This record gives sequence, structure tokens and C-alpha cells, in this order.
Amino acid sequence: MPCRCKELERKYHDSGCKCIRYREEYPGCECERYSVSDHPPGLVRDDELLIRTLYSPYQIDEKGTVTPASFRDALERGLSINRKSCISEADLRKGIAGKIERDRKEGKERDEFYRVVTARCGDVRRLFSEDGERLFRVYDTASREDVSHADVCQALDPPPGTPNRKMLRKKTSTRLFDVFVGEATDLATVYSGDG
Amino acid sequence: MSAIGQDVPIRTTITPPYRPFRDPEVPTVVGNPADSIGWFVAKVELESIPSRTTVLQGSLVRRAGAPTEPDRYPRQPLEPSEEDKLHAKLLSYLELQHDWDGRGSVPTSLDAVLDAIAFLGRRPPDVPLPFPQIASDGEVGLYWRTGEAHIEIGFYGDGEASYYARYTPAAGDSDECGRDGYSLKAGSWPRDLMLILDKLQP
Repeated sequence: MPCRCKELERKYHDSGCKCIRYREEYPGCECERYSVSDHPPGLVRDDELLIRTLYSPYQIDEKGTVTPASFRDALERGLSINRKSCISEADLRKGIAGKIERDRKEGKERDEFYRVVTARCGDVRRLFSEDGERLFRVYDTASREDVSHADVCQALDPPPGTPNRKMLRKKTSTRLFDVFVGEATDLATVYSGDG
Repeated sequence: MSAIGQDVPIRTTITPPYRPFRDPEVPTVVGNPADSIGWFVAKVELESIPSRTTVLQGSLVRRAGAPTEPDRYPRQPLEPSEEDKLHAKLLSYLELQHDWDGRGSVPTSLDAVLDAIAFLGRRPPDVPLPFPQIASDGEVGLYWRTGEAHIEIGFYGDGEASYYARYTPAAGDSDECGRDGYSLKAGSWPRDLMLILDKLQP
């Protein structure tokens, strides 16, 4: 492996800034060509369906559609996703319930609310800038507790001081929103479909 | 105050010696006029000291025996307009705490919410209402989305907005615009933004 992608993932997996580290430390490295996790199942294939779980009703508009701002996580901490082919509906339900329970134990007000949206991995990887550079990368960030876990990270970000930087970030985030956009739904609907 | 967003929003005005900061439409009362209990939030400045701003936030309670003020706090329930509901939704973002959207997410600021409301206060009458949104970094936003257009405006509470708008029709010329640093003191919405918003019209 030409880049120390696994080391980076081990060090920053829960740091809130892993995507920044991927961009800054290995800007030209194709970390997604190699597994970044110590755990199976390995690389995310283009044909895999990615499931993004939303835990806040503030991320859903009154029409039941996810808001564009819900995809900003790919800029810094990583857009956390699950690989449908690597986890059963029952296990994902348990994982979601566990996350809600952990939040409650940390003192957060939490009801049972959650919704999911999906995208095909290849559609995320086929997003390019006007200069022909890849906008997002999908890393296999499986853990012992959740082997289906992966992250979408933004591969390009204008450096500080770039004119209209906030606008440019919105433009890039909108591209990710484009491929995930749709009615936020429940797991039963996702698992009743193909893929 | 936890019922914000569920009650009936009404409007009031801030009278001297205070005046609203940036926009006369900003002061917004959210409450239940049926029982005259509600609360308001507004950023104002002292007329005598324009550079000194403060935040007013408090309860409105009609005291027993107090003169009724039918025009100001009507006892008949008001039907909230769609714009009132949008304001209430934006104000409800102030309830969010640290980590509301996972570890590291931050609450928004009163200034960001008031900037969004101030921007909406200058909405041209033929422009449809947008959807509200909040990002995990505290940015308050407004957006429109159709099959052909995506328009997004964001506020961090610094008196400016950043926006991005894209129009991609199935046939014909596409269009795109956006920038940072749009001053909310400007009298009207940006011209390039309006050109794309005009395409949302039926």
C-alpha cells in the first residue's frame, strides 16, 4: 500500500475531522483502492447500496425529504453510512436502537425517530468537479462492532481564503445531495427493494 | 418555552427606546394568543446608542385584571400563515443543543436565525416560500428544490449570506450563480439569484 491509509483511519476514525486528514495527508492517494479498515469485508464496490441514517427530525423537511444540509458531514467528520449488502435489516435496526440508547445515556433528549436515504456507491464515485477531479471517496471503515460501516469523504475543498468558499462548499455538497435525494423512508422499504 | 413551533405565532413590534436590529420585520412573537401566554425573541438596539445591541427574550403573560389589548394580543386564536410557520421552524432551531446531530455538531446562534428571518422579510411577493434547514456546523439555511432547480442560502449570523443556485432544465440553457458575503443590509435580493428564482414560477 503506497499510503498509510489504515494508520490514518485508526488514528482519526472518531476524531470528527477524518475527511480533512484524508485530504491533507494523502491528497493524491487513492485510499479507497485499498481497505482502510482492519476488519472485513473490505473495499466498497460500486454496485453496493449505501444507507444513510438520519436521527434528527430537523434533517427532514415537511414533504418528508431529507434537507441538503444533512450531507455536509462529508466535508469534515465523514458521512457515516452502512453497506446494505453487509448487514441484515434486523442487525441494522439493532444498531440504530443502540445508537439512540447511547444518546439517551449521554443525556440527550431522544425519541425513536430515524429515517434513511440511500444511494448507489458508483453514483457517488462518479461525481466529478469541472476540472475532472473526483469530488467524493467512499472508504470501508468497518469496525468490530459494525462491519457494514463506511464513510463518504469530500475529496476536494477550496483552501482557506478562497473567494466564495462557503458557496463552493454548498455547490459540492449539492452534488452529493443529488445522488442521495429522495423521500426519507424506513428500513423495511429499503430492504424490500433490490440491491 | 419548549412548545415553540407548536404554538400560534403572532407578530408584534418593538417600541422605543428599543428598535429592531437590521430589519423591522425581525421582532417575532411566538406564543398562544388564545390564553395570552407566549414568548418572544428579538435582537434590538437602543435608539440612543445604535452600536449597543441586546437580545430580548421573555414571556408575555396577561395579568388578571389588566386592560385587555385586543389589537395587540387578540384572544381569538389566529390561524398561522405559512410564513409564520416558517419563522417558528427557524426559531425552533434555537432549542438544539451541542451534539444535536452527532458528536461535534454545534447549535446555531440567535443571530443566524434572525438573519434568515430578516432575509425572508424582503422576499418578493411572487417568490414561493423556501424550506428551512440547519447544518451540523450551526449554519441556518433556506432552500428551494424542484426537478430543474436547486437554490440554497446560508446564514451564520454575521450579517451576511452565502448562496448557491443552479438551474438545469431538461432542454435549453442551464444557469448557475452564487457567492459569499451578500450583505443583509442590501435592499433587495441578489439579481442573479432572482433570475433563477424567477424560473421556479409556474
